[in-house]
Amino acid sequence: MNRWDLFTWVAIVVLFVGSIAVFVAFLMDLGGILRKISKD
Amino acid sequence: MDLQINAHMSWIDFAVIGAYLAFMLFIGYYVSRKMSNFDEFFIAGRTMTTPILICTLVSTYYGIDVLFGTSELGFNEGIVAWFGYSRPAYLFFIIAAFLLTNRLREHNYRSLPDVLERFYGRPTGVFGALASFVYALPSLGLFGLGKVFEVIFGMDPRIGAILFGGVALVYTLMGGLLADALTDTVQFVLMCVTLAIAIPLVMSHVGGFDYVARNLPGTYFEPLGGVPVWLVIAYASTGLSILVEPAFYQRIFAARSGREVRNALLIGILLWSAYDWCVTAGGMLAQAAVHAGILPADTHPNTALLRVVVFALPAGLTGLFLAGVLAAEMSTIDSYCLVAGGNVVYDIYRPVFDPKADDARLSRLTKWGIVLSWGLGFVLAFYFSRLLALWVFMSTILTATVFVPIMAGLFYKGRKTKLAGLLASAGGMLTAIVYYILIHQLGSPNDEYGTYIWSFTLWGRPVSLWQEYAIFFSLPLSLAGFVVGNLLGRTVQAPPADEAAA
Repeated sequence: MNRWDLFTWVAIVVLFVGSIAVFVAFLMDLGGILRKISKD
Repeated sequence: MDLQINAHMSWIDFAVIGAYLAFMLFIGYYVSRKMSNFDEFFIAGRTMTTPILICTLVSTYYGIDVLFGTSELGFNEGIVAWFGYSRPAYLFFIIAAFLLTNRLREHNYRSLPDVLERFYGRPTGVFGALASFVYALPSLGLFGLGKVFEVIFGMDPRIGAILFGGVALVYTLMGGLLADALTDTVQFVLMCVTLAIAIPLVMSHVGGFDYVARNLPGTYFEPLGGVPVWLVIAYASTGLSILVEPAFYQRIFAARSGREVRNALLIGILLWSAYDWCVTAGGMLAQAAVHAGILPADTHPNTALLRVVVFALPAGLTGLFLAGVLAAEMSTIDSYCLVAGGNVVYDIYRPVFDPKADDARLSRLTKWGIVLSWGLGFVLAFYFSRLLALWVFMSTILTATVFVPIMAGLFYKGRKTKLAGLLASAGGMLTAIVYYILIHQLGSPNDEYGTYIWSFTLWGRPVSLWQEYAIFFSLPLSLAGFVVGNLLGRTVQAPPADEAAA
């Protein structure tokens, strides 16, 4: 495998796994954020 | 003959795009029912935590300018797109994470011009607001959305800008920064995941980097490629704008604490670098696809990545990827519309014309400011033809105007005068504008780089001034203005924190 292929695969894994992990963490925080925003 | 993208799309793809747009509007409507004051509308009640900050920072900074602009550079020049253009920005993000965020959290600012006004008074704050307004006009985003629409449907790009940009406008008007950040989060996942799925499929179709290395010039794998060193430095220096970026400042002020922002930036750098490399690799693979005859020879560098990805993806995933492309740009448009609207109303109208405006009035007028910035951005969108050139111009105006006075205000402990702030901001802005006018009058267009260059002989040596070099003149003159203003002006007594935040 070309080293640039390998570099690209590392970037793909970071992007895919990282974005999903951040989204899960966001969902865990979401309730708290919405509760802090006052209601009319 | 160019590739017709909609010929590769099924009804599933169009349904996915429609569902995405409807969901964005729903988020705007849902959040609008919870908004009760200006702080909640403009800085989300200072409630943002690390995960939502990552999502909104990554998606706001990375629009079609990166997706198309960086891939265009990868398509034309190779890995210099990542090593020369993208990578220097990470250094500025690290500086921002460790030095800037805590300083900006020492007072309850709401916007970037607030910072200038605190240190140098109202006139400098207004200059900063004008520069921020110009920078935040969503012309680049609307142009990009129009371009995507044209590539997909083969229709007038202005219709696409109105349609997709209109959705971003509506949910921003309804829910302010929180709607912006929540939609950014969905958009963040879409743009990252779809790109991560698309690139391996493109590699598989083209034959990976073995094929690229065999068929493209060796300069494609040189970190500085064939791009002039001074141009690389000029591109890299646009990273300075990160340290004075109004949407970034707004998110620092909207965060629950400085620590949340720092953590978000450090994780964000990892994701940004991965995204940048995927886009660069996509551009290079698209060039290889042209060489292999997969894409037509007249494929435009701006849209090459989009075309090769659509070619490689199956039905359904194509719609998801195009929704990701739209997401990348809509997440940028909404954020900058909000910043520009705030600049007009909160930073210029309120202090100059209506200091006693209450929350309801500020919120209502800011919505009109958002509409104004969207409209102006739309008009400008179709005047500039090169994405990178427009980006460099906008960031030059911002950096030239506010970089020196803000950095001096935050980090220079010595004497500071109102005149210093005014001369630094006005001097930097005027120098940048005059430089651009001169280069356009005296220089000539360069089609290869889509820029203007003024070539002349000085003391027997050839000199070439590119329009991108404006920052090399405007920043030193801004600094000179600060020094002169400090020598001639009277010392400013900074107001206490609460007064500054009012």
